[in-house]
Amino acid sequence: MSWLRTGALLALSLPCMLGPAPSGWAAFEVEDASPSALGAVSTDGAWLLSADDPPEEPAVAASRATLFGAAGLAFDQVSVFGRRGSRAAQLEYAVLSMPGAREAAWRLKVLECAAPAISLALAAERLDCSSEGAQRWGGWALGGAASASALGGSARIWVGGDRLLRTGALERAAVPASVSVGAGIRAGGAAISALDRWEPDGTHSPRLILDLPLGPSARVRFGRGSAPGRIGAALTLWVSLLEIQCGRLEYAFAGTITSVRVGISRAKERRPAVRDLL
Amino acid sequence: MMPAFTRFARLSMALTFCVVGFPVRSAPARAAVVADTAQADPRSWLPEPEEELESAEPLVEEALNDRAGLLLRGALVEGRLRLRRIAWLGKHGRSAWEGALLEEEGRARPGLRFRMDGRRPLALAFGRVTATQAPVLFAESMRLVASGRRVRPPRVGVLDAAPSHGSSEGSLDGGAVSLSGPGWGWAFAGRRSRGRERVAGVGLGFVLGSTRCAGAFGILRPSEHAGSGGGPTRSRTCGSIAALHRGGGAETSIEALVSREGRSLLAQAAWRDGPALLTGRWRYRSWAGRVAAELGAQTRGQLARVRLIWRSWSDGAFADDGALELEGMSGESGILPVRVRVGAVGMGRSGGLVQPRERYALLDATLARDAGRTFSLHVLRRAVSTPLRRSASTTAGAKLEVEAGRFGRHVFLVESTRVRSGAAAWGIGLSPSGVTTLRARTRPGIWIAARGGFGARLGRVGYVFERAETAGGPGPWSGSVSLRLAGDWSERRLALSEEAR
Repeated sequence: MSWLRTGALLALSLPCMLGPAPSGWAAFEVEDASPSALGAVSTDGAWLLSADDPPEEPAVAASRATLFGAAGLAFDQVSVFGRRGSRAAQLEYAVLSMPGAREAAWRLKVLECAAPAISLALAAERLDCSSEGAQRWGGWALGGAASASALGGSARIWVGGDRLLRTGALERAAVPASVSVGAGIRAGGAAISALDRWEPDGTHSPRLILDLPLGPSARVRFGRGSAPGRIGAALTLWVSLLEIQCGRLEYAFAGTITSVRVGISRAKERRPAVRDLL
Repeated sequence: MMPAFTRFARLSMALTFCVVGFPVRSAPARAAVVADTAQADPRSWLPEPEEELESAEPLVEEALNDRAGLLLRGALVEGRLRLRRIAWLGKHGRSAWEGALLEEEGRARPGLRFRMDGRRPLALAFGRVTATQAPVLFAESMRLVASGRRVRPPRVGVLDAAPSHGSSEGSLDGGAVSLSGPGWGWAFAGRRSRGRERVAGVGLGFVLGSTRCAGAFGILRPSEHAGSGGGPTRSRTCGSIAALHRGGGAETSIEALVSREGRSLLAQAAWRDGPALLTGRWRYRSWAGRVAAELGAQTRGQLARVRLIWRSWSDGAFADDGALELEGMSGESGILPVRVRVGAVGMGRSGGLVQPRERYALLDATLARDAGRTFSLHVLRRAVSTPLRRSASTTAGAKLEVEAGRFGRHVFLVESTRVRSGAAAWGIGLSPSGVTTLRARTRPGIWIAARGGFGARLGRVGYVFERAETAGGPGPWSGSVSLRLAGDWSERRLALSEEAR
């Protein structure tokens, strides 16, 4: 794993600066740095299908994260959600900017929401890396997930593959695929999920995520992961049409990521965890 | 290009055409091998390791299943698609012709089979053909099957020969002829595609009440390059007699073989009482000097099935490498159809000898089903321990089966393997034939695979793709693509009218 403090910074910056990375360096390692992902200790794009349901109504959100306290190193995301019938879609634009280089990703996720037993999800990504003095490069990636519900939807088991199919430039840049396996139970507005993410070199990174509602307008999420050891927390507040989130992820090697997110939605109802509580 | 037939092969072809009154094959023999036991029937047992199969050749292609038509198969190797086989099956009345061209090392290997059904079915095959269904000890002595660890049940029946799907132990350049019926006979001769030994054999059999008896005689001559590839260096002749008796809920069968290597004996006894089935098999080889046994017990109930298999130490073992395996599955009426297998290899103490002890477990659970979709999860674990070292491997993955109506049926598989201290691992292998097997792996990584087909009766495009990604990066795609066109015009008309409706 490249998640040592210095290794993380190098992994983030070197691939962009050098062009297609040599074997061993992984570009685009940070896929999601929203507060919700920090709370789930899952910035690596592991599929988490048990706790977060897509919003019922169209929504827009933007977030900004600062990574490891490094000057000029930030991760910005803008997301648009839509839903039609039993399918939901999320279009996201994310930029990891650093001095002299940046990674940009367009990500489209399509999810089945109302399937009784088996739900499928697909994710298509366009990844681009540019840096000063080097040629811009990028490519497409495709992933997916399938989940099975049980106990009336209270329990869910899923398996997801991230970037299973990639175009040549991404493969040459050592952008790896990964497989995540998870299970979660939701009851009384709270949810607990266990998740493991496996990489091609045989390393894995298990994590445990707990969601707790705090009344009708707030929710907290705590996460604990290992390999590397890390803890995360996120707080979500709903104020009128606004959704405000803040999150923090701390690594055992003393690295920290913090993030703030603001969203707006026409939803008249709260997220399921809160709705169940009400 | 025609293959270079030897005089020996030409003689065999002449023999094929001259001998009248031989049978070939009981028709469903190959079809039974390629039945999608692990996919189509969730109540079937968990897949077997590929190395324990008698032959891997039936795995490489979807069988024509005795339906007239044309089949083109291409293989994807190192990311490049190459045409590997063209096969054609035509029917006219009670007769059927099957022809094939197999690409091997840049050369086309033709194979042809003619079959005449009736009271005494007759079959002729020549060219590049694969011989199967020969008596077990006889086939092992003639190197027509891979010698595995398992003790296989004796076979008393008719040898089958058909154009080869690929290179395997039983494939040869030559000919075969067979005649079925209450009395049957078969003969074959040719040069093995692997090892290039010259082989020939003849067999006769008859039915006497509830007993079937058969005899076979064969010759194997080493190739001109004997010794370099590990093949036999001396000529080998063998004779085998076999008998099978059914009655009173029991079945007993035996095969005895005499060859220049020595004598060997294979016996099986099976008892069935209601849903319970007990089997015992014993194999003795005089040159090994010991008896290998395999005892099994299983229940075939509607709600659940359980199977227990015990194998004795293998022929050449220096210490106890016996195996004990327990497998069970819950029924469809349960909450989740679950199949579990646990096993151990290398039991007991072996004095001062260092005998690896292996433990393994397989779990396959169907998590959910809805309209046309099935989602299942599997975990495979192997652990090997010696007094000096412990190693283990784990594979976890999921399989999604989608029945998409006229868009066909598709299976998607993704799994991840972890290996600790160099242990061997298992993964799930999807083969073009539809059979699912356990495939050995030595490295950690992520595997993705897909298998499926479009179309049904009129024409069908089938595919299997697989790719591994390890620490060194993603490997090339491998797999195969096949195109199958129905050749029966009445069937085509029926399919067209159904599609029009």
